[in-house]
Amino acid sequence: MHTRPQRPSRAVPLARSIAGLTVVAAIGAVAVLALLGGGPVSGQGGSGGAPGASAAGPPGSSATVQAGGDLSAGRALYMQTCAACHGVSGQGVSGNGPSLQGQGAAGTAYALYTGRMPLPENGVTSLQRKPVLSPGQIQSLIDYVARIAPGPAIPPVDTQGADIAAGRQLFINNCAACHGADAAGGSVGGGFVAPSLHNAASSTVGEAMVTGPGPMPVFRLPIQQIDEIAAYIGYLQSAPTPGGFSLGGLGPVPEGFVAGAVGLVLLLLMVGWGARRPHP
Amino acid sequence: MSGGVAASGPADERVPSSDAGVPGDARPLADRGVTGGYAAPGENIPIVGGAVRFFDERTGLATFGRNALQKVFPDHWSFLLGEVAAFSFVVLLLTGTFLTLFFRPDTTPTTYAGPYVPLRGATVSSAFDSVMQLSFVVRAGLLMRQIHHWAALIFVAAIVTHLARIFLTGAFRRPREVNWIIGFGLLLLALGEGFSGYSLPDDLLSGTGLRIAYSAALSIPFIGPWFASLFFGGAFPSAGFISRLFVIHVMLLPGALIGGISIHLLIVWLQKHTQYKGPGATEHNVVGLRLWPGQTFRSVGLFFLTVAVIALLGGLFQINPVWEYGPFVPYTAASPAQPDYYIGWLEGLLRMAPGWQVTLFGVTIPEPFVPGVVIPGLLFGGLWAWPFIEARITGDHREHHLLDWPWEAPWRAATGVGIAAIFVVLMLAGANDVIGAWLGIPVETLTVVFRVLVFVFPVVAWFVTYGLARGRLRRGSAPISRPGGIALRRNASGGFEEIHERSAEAIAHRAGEP
Repeated sequence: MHTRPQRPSRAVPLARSIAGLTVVAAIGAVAVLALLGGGPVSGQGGSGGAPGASAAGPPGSSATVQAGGDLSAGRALYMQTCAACHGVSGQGVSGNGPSLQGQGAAGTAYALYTGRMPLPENGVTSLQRKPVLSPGQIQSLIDYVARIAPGPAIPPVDTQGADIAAGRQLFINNCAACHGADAAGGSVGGGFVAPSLHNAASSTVGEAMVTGPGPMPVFRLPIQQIDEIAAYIGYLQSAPTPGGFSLGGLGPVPEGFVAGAVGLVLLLLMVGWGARRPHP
Repeated sequence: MSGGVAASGPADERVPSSDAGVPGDARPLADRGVTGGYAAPGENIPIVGGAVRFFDERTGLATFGRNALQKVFPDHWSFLLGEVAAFSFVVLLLTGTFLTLFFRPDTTPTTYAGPYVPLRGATVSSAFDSVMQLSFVVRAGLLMRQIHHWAALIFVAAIVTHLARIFLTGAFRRPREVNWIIGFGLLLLALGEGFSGYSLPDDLLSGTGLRIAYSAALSIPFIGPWFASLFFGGAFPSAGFISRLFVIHVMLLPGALIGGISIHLLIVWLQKHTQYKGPGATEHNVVGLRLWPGQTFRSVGLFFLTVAVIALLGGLFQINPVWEYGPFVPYTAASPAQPDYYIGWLEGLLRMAPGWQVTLFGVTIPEPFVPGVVIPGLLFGGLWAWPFIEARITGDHREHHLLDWPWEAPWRAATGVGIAAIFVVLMLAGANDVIGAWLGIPVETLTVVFRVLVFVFPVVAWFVTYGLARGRLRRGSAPISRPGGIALRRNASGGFEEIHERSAEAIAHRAGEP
């Protein structure tokens, strides 16, 4: 069960990467043509029934276009930091790490940019941490994993000019049940925690929606709605909190705590002070 | 001394006639003590003096007032807790009146068009719209809303602290069982006020709470569906319920609270305060500060301090941001969703109770009935009847005017702390998702932990408290802190000595005592 994965012969991955290069180049060319043709990639959404990958444009489009086809750096990095747990071809290692199948560029970007991967050491829980890889390294890994474990592309989230009011409605309907009305996060059962979105980048929001990491479902929404949700989350992050210090956005629990720990304690101190007798 | 009602005020050499104000007294009012030691306020100013005399000759209020001003208040900080509650209530009345000027108890759908961008164009109820107006348009509206909400949290906290003092010192014993019952009723009214106020804005959080209340009402066997429908005006969410809640929140419950508080204070007045054991204190007197000037200044100061603390909370800390929750839409919910802390124990009961639904003799008892109705009823019913329960257990039916220090009745102290422990566990269980996310413990695990704790922790707390109290009793009878602290005096030889005599304080005798 715990046999270490055999080191693959060099020929096979090399052949794969050459093939990959060709595919990427072809897709890149198509994408460039599409862009030149003026058709917005995200314009197709609307029904809400389109699968997440295609909602964000053709698979592998935006991420791989800029990659310029250099998969060797990504491959080397993958072998060094990922393969021990996820397997040399992303098939997963039984008892050590899950398969990456279906993760694609979006899932990879989500895991790496939020520091959930690579794990600081074996056996610890995957949590939001400071990313340890540089943006360049992350990009080459995204390109490589998108190649060996195809999945949804990174949705080109653009919150500029997105309708925040529509985003609020979508957020309450789809996200608030787990992440909370303030996006402060919360328990979702089974030991899972819907993380706080107070520091989430809008690209991360989009990546999580199209891949559904952990217990989170995949949200197959048109890119415009992803933009709106991300814009509302950005609003919650940056807008001032009317009424004073926010108590974490967790509702009556911290409010009750402050009422007791601050209000009641202050009042008891004052009662004690007020009841002091002047010396005769 | 006759012991009549008006004569039950503090007897004092400066009140010449002890029969003042007895009904049927045929002497002119001016002879019934009105001409005592003091000049009436403003007597030297012709118009004011004339007016005062005019009213006094027709009402005899001067005598009453003079007696009243000499009422003695025990000199211990724990006697001020009830005042904090009363002052929070004043803040609630004042800010609440401001809020009613702008709140619309109406569920008619309307389109939000105010300044809060994320809600623009949303369909909201008129009630929610008016709360948004209050929060973002009305000058100082948000501040008033927040002060009102914080005052509610402080109000209940102060009531509970006051109640804990009464419980632990045995102040509820005969003849004060009556006031325990009224005071406990006031706590229930305050909880009702709190929950109805929490529900009024018609936001997502309050709607979720109302749905739980509706379900609990629905779960009562036999009458549930009828009762819930009658109370809520139809199936939830009924269009008319906000206006019903509004009447409950701004008229019925505040009216009942004002009436209840009045009776509560009147009875304290008639029965006089209890007091701790201390120098000069007996079962037949009250040692402490007179209402005027000592207690008056102390209370007025405390009033402003209470207002200051509540205003500080309201001005500094955001509470109940309804704009984030948005309008109540029955098919949505946000998490975490809790009631305000004082209903948190009920939430905890519902969260930790196993989902058992039993059918007895063809009658289905729905899951929420036991945790949502029966157990709260037993807990509160037991506490409500506590003076009688304790008298039955101890067989002590005598009058008590001197208080026990908490450790002097270890059994009672342990029981009180044990009951508090139950409520603490229940409240934590009501916040299980927040605690779980915070500590990284699965909610399911926490639920099991709380199910065990709710039985174990109170028992542990009982024995620990009992042991501590017994230990304290054994170590000696001197109280930890003498009421009023220690006064020092420098003597002729340059050393310091404690002053034990209480020359400055008043001693008032109980009604019927010489």
